Amino acid sequence: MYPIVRKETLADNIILMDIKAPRVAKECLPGQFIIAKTDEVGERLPLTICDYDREKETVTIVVQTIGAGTERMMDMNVGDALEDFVGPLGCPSELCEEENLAETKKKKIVFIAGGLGTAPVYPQVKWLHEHGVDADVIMGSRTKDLLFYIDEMKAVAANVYVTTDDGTYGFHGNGCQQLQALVDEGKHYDVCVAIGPMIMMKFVTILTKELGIPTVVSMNPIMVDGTGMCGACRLMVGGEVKFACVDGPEFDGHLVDFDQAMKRQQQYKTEEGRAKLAYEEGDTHHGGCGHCGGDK
Amino acid sequence: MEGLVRVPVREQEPKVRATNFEEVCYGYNEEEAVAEASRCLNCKNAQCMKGCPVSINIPAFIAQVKERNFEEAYQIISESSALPAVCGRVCPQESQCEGKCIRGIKGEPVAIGKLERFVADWARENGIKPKKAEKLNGHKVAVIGSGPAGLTCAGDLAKLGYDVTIFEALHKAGGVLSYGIPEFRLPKDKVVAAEVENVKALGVKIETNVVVGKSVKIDELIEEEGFEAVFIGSGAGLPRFMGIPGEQANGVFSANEFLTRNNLMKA
Repeated sequence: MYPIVRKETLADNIILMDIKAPRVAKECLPGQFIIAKTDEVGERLPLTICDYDREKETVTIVVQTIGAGTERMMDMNVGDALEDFVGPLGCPSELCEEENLAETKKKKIVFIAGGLGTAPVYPQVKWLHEHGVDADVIMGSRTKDLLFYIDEMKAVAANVYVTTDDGTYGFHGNGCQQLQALVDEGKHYDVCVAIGPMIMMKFVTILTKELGIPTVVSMNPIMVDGTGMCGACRLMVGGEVKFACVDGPEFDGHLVDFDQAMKRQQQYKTEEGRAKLAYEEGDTHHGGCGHCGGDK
Repeated sequence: MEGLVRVPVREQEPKVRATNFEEVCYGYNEEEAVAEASRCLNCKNAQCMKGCPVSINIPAFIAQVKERNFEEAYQIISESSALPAVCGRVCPQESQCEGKCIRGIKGEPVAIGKLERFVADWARENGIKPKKAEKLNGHKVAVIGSGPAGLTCAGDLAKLGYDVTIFEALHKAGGVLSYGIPEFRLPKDKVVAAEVENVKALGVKIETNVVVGKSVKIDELIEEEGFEAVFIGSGAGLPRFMGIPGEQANGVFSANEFLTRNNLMKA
């Protein structure tokens, strides 16, 4: 069992939890994820690692409630324990590897975090800050009430640019528009890391291709075991089949076949899964996938 | 002619079993098992044992079944096999022990698998456990993977007195026995969980949710956690996609995904 040692509400339907998980806390690195299960019959929920404390042996996760599985997690409190918590899974972010540090220090890096993508972006920016690299961060969400971790991010980033689709906070627009505005102002970036809903990452990669900025994306497809055994999370990257769980979750965004990945995402069997998809992609999905009828 | 035909095993009616996920084969009852056991010729040079990957003393356990000493039969099997209720169901006996059976030359081979299953089920229903090591030898061994290989290795080492810990990546022990083989072929709660409990009863510890290589490295198991040896039974591994058109379409699953969703996730 994996005790919940801290729980905070970050925004509308978004909670943060510190989970005591000594093995994960000892080994995890930015870019990796975990799979949690609330109880015997719960779903295996893949969740990104938002932070970790090696001494306290805790891992911080951020959860957005959209259905039965995540609601059960929402109902749990400090003192309760998750039945299962496995990880760290996937490969660490290449930007956050000690051996690449000399190269990384030469680069101007911009992160674009969409929605819940703030959670996996934070530990990368924090790691870079602790290693003497200060990156710019664009944090976007649909509306003000869904924003979280702005102060935490400001403490570790060079500049933080907050955007909302509806203009209720910060820059009125999305991450792509903010990046374009920064580049128009004369900012130069050598690398972009975009993490968020697939539709957002797709449009970021289209823009950064035009701008000539190499772009890393973190893919979040449907997963079952998360250890490379089943292939549910497969994607086409540069014409090859890759498994997000073991080959990723980070890939070269200019090589990912987003249209196919989004189509595969639609095969959620449950109401909850479909709700999640509508929630994540819903308002921000402006067509282009070829399947939603949104290409008016 | 007498003895050429094996005692038939009872099964669920096809029209009934098509509507449920319960085990198709009912297995032998005591009378059927004793009758089938009496077909064994008790060969001096037992060919069946040569066909058995773990060399169970097959004629000896069958002789005990014939005499209705089912507990003794169980202990004989347990000397060589940690998972008789599983192996009695899913081993390919027709090409292993039964494939070599002398009875098979002129008629049907002795139903060794069904007898093994009967003995294991009888032992479980009567609360008989395999014998634990009399004393521990003080050596720690790590086993990676709680599938049939890992459980067998752990069970054998525990019987020799080793202090064994199994590390399992998934949330449930059993490996392919849990996520792969369907319920109607190998019941999960009744059989797999009970076999896992038997291995635990030998003193084996099982830590789930540990992906060795990610959650902990082998070097750390040895240098920091005091394990002196590591057995890797990590399974058959990745599905291989063939690169054919339509492979990425929704509804196309690898065998492992299909089985895992059905058997482990009940989804």
